[in-house]
Amino acid sequence: MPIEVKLAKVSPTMESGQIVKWLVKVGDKVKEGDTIAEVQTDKAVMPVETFDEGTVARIDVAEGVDIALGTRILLLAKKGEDPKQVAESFATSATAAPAAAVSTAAAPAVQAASAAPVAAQVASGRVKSTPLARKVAESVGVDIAQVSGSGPAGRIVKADVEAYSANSSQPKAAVAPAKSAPAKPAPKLFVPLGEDERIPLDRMRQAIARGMIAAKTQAPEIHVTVDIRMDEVVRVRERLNKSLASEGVKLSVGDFVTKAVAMSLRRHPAVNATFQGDNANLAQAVIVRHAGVNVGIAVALEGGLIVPVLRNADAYGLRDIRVESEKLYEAARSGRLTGDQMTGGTFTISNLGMFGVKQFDAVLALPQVAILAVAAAEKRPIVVNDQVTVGTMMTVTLTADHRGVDGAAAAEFLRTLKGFLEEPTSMLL
Amino acid sequence: MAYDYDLIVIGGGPAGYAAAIRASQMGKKALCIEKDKLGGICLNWGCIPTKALLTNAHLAEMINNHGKALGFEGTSKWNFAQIIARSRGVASNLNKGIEGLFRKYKVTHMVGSAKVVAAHKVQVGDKTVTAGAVIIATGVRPRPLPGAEYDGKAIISYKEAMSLTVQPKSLIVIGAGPIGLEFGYFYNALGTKVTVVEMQDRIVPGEDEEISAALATSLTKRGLVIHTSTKTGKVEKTRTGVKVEIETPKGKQVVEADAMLVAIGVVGNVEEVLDPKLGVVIEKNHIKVDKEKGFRTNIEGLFAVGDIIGPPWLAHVAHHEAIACVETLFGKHPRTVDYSIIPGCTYTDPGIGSVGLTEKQAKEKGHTVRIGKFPFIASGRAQAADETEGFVKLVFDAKFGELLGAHIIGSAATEMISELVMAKKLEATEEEIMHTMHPHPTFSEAIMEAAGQGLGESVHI
Repeated sequence: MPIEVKLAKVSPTMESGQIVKWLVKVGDKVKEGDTIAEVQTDKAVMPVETFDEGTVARIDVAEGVDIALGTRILLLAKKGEDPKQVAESFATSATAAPAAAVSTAAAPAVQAASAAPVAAQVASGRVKSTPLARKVAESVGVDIAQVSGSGPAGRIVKADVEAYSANSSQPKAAVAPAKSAPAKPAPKLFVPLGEDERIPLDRMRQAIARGMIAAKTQAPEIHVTVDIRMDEVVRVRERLNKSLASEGVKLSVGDFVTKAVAMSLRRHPAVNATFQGDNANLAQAVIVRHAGVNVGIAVALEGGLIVPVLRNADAYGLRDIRVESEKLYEAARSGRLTGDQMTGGTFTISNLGMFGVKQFDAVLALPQVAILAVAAAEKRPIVVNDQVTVGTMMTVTLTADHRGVDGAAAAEFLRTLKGFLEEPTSMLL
Repeated sequence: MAYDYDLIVIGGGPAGYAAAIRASQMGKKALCIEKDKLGGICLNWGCIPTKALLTNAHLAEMINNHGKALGFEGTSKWNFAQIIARSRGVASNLNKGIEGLFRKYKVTHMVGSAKVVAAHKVQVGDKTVTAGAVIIATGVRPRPLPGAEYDGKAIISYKEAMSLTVQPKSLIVIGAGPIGLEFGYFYNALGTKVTVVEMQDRIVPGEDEEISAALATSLTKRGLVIHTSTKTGKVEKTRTGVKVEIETPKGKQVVEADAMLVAIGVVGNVEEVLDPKLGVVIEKNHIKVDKEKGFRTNIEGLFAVGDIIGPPWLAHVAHHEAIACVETLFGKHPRTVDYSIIPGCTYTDPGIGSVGLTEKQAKEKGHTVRIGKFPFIASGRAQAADETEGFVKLVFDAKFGELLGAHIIGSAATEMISELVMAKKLEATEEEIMHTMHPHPTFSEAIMEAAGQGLGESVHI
């Protein structure tokens, strides 16, 4: 039997994807591990690899079309199979067995496959539907993206909307007309003189919104703030950067924070944890204290943000933290993070220091129980030995999920962090 | 048990040859049995040769009715034998084309009369062949007028009407459907005196009422005598032709002519092809099939498609049925035919192209309709062509602008209708039709204008 390659989950929150680019064509031979396509998820553009060997017999999904997880995207003919015959035998959207199969002299080599129906609905952007279907959907208050299409290639026709509307017991949402959304609204330098701009949520925006809503509605949070004197970090950083100059590596204050956070987490497993379970059924909930210290670092992107994960951050020295972080930032900015690089975080750092902010609170990245908001390191008047003097100060705020972390635990973590940063050489101990 | 073939198709018309070729394309061993020429009625005795004749009618029409305006000063003289010979030549070319396609796709072709004697078993002469599936596509033949059997000379069907050796001076046409009217129009254009008799209250009764009325006006203007709501009574053969009594609403009349063309419908060719012992269900001379389940009959492994399964007896419907049947049968796409979107054409001048519901049908189905209409007299292209008869009439549901039906009468109607078939298939609404840019100047612009007229936004009317 030929191999059906289906769209698999490549990011944790992914529900659908879009093939941005096919890297193979019909007739190409592929082997295990070959990258066959690039897929746009709610997070980024990611490579799709095949786990099998064979010849590409058929490509089921065009570039730029949104498809649901599990949808077949490609057919591979195995060794000894004729790709042409394989392609012929498989229907694009054969959902049912032939209605009238008869016994024939030569039984068909491969009967029509029961492939997943091509999903017309997408998370955002274009929904394949007829003009009449869209008008009917708008009029009866059906979100057309929820309707599955029976037309060619999953196109939604009037009858589909009517059937959905008739069967739907769910409350009907008033929806904006499903028009084709602009791929990416270009940034405007000034307020347009004409109408207000209406920007549909793209995948990333939706993922962020979902995450934030979950955090604010599910997790009762506490905020604990400390000021940390950074003069020693500034001094050590200067010295180390001189010696690293020949390698072209330049440590940032943020790298020291990452290092100190990772080491503090190792000492406070209650903060390096995830809360797993449902508020409605707390008897079944668990707090998982993670063996690895995997620090997520939020990276701002145009139109959103993404959190690549530095795995086993506590095992790295400052130099490697810099080098590895830089790789992640680069991949994040070019939209090429792999699934591994975006999952498995046990704690998150959100740093707005570069914008000169004095203090802010970050929203939890569930199921992680804590996130650290890092503000700018700046010179402030401080009191040392009852004398007012000038110190480089940085304010950090820990947001903690009070379901799993109490105020004292949060404060203890911050005390350790403050200690490491105010006396960075202590991290060598 | 191994069969000789995967598929046997009985009948080589638009349904049969398409079924055989499609099966072969899908890697199946297919046999097509035809007792006459490949291409069926459509290609040999229907659609195609009549269009060849109507090309002559159109030329004569242009000279006789538009010639003066266009500055033509010669006389219109036609060699009837050559007209018929060219028409036969076109048919003959095309059926050789089907033979070529059979060779290309390796469809086995057998000449002979076939009879299904048992499930999976077909007898041709003294030979028996078997197959996993058998499709019957033997089509239909003209329905005779009771009391006036066809004799091929005075009382004729379309087959003789397109192969007469001498042009009749007068012709009675019984039945004002597309076939009757196309021949009536053709002979009238060449100078034959034509009388049309229709039992229903209007000609082309399947079309929208406004279309029927407009065509009646146009054809009457050209000299056809049309009797509607008229029964055909006693038919008597005379030395020179026929004498027919007709009962018009105004009383009895007797009409005499050189020949009488009977075009009052068709009956299915079911008798020869089926062994009665088989017990295939027949309804009104047609084979009963389940159209939702791959066109199967009540007998396992036996299918039927095309005219043999009943109205609307159109070649394009037969073709789509055949493809859907074969693809369902061999597991490619379990497909059905959408009978709500069937285009129909009548090749008179002006001609008719239509799809979907008429205004009356739409209202009867409970739609609140909005009509968009645009006459060709307001079309620049039509004026340039000196062919301004007719109009485009679009029937929309007022609520969403859903296209329920489209009815065009005009010299380009049969070529224009496809756009609206596509629009209906893709569920385009009035707005999409109106906002689809149509090239200027064309007859087709009238479609866009008609949609606009319905919404009160047409600039040109």
